[in-house]
Amino acid sequence: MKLDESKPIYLQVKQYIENLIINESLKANERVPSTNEFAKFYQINPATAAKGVNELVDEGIIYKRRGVGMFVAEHARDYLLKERKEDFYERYILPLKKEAEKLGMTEEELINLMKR
Amino acid sequence: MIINVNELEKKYGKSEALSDISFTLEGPKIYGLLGRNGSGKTTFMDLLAGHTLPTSGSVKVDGLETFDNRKVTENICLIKEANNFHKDLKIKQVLRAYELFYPRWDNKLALALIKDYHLNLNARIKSLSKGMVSALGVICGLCSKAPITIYDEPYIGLDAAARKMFYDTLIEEYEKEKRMIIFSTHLIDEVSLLFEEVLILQEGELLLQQNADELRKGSCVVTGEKEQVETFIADKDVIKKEELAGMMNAYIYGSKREAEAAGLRTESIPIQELMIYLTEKEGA
Amino acid sequence: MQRQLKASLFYLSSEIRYTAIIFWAIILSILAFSLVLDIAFFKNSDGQMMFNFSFPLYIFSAIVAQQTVKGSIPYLIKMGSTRKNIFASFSIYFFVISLVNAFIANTVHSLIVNFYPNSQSVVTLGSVSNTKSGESLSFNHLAFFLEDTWMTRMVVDTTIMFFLMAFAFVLGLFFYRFGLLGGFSFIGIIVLFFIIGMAQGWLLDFFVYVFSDITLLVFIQLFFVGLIIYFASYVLLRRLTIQG
Repeated sequence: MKLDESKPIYLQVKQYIENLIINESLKANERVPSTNEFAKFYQINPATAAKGVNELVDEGIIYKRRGVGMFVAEHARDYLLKERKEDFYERYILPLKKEAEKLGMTEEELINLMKR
Repeated sequence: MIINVNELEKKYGKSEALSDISFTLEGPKIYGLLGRNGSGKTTFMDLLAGHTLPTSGSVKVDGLETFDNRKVTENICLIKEANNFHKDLKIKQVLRAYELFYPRWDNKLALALIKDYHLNLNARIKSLSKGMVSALGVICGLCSKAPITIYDEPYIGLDAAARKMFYDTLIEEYEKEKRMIIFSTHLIDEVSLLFEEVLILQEGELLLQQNADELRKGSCVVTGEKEQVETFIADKDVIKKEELAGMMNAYIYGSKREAEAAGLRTESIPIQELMIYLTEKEGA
Repeated sequence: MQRQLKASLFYLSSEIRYTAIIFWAIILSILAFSLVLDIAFFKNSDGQMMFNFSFPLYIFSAIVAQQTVKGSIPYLIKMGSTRKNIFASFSIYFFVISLVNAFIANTVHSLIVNFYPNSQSVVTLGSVSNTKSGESLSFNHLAFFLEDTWMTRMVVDTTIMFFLMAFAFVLGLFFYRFGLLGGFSFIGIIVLFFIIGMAQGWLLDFFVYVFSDITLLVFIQLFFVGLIIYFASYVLLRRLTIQG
């Protein structure tokens, strides 16, 4: 993943970890790269990286073990999947419908495209 | 370290380089000090480092005046674009002088970096290329371990690879030991990821001081039909407007979500561009 | 304080090393060249060669002291040196330069006079001469008025150099702080002082008085005058800023 300089960096770090968990690159109880590793890898401010990671800690998706590091929580993936599904309508369907409307496509046409 | 800038003013003859600016910087943090040429960045950094005297007002570090105050100046290292070192000196003499002046100097790191940048300890400053002198400046700033390290366009002549190496080392050292680093540069795109907080100066005044991510989050370009955009931005703080064939781009302070809900397309603004538009607006 | 003093003295010594090496290389090679010429042509002839260490040294010291204002002080301030530290370290720096230069010059002078039979130490100025015939390479020196020994020459050279350096330093500070106008005004005032002094005659009287009964004490006094001038420099140094 490459960072988009124009978007909030901490959010991108957060999303990056979420994606790793969703596609199971990081499984439950596996160690998450440290703030410093992120900072160095992406050449970003460690405090910014920490902000992204800490939000995940606050949401209970990863947990801290003092002196050892950060780990993926037991049900993190399920939780993230649920969250993403909830977002799905707003993030993908709504813009799709809007564009379709602009182009004058019917509902039927849309469903057919979906099935292709 | 806390830097308190209080109604700071600096005049050169009749022209005003800084006019009554006040703000607070609280470390350890990496700051981006941005602005167009002549906006007062260098003037501010000179005052902060105690190189010059303010016309009125004050800059204080942990409550102490910076001018001619050893307790403050041994904690501040300012590396400028040029003229950091006497041309007759050898690199090893420069390093030794910095070591003697800066109580926290890290000589092991200095020697390692000298090697990384392929510098010769016995070479005289006047025999070095621009890029090599810049590399030495960058090294001195890092190794001074000064709790307030200031870089004013430090890398004239440094190639992309050397700059990347510098950012790497900077992050590594910053992680090991947090301190305040103030960056002033025109290569904003490259370093903006390093900034935690951004200050923008414009014609001697402070235009903005904000967390970098908040700034990214808090501003966007809204695109749509002219009327639609005009209605949306009516109650917004607009930075800049562009029109083309009935369509309008408006750069605003405001959340993307709100604009998207109103059926407008949005895009983020890189800090570099944001700075340009902001300073254009003020200048107009 | 002590750490900064050490730091700035290290810095100044590194900075002067290069210039000093070049200066001495030139002076000593001229001397060597003179020796060769003397051996080749003037030995056992009526020809005479004169060699003078002092004046090049005096000029060199004064230039160093004047240039150091623009050339070193900004770098010291950049590294965090206080003005007080600059004041303290430059006093030591000037004194040590005077001493070391005098030492090298007069030791070389003594060595050659002692070991090269065809040379002599001449206490002479202008046409007043007490050269012995047959000795064709001569060193002349301001110790003319005094007993000519290594020690007296040391005292004379060190004190004169220190005085000149203190004076040139203040001059350099005037130029640095007040620009060309300020610097030349300062020179103007000094020149005016001399003109008035000459016109009214008291300056001449003063010199006659000093030189008629000259002793080493005069040079010691000169050193203290230099010290007073140096102390005055602090007024200019105290609020010094980096320009440009």
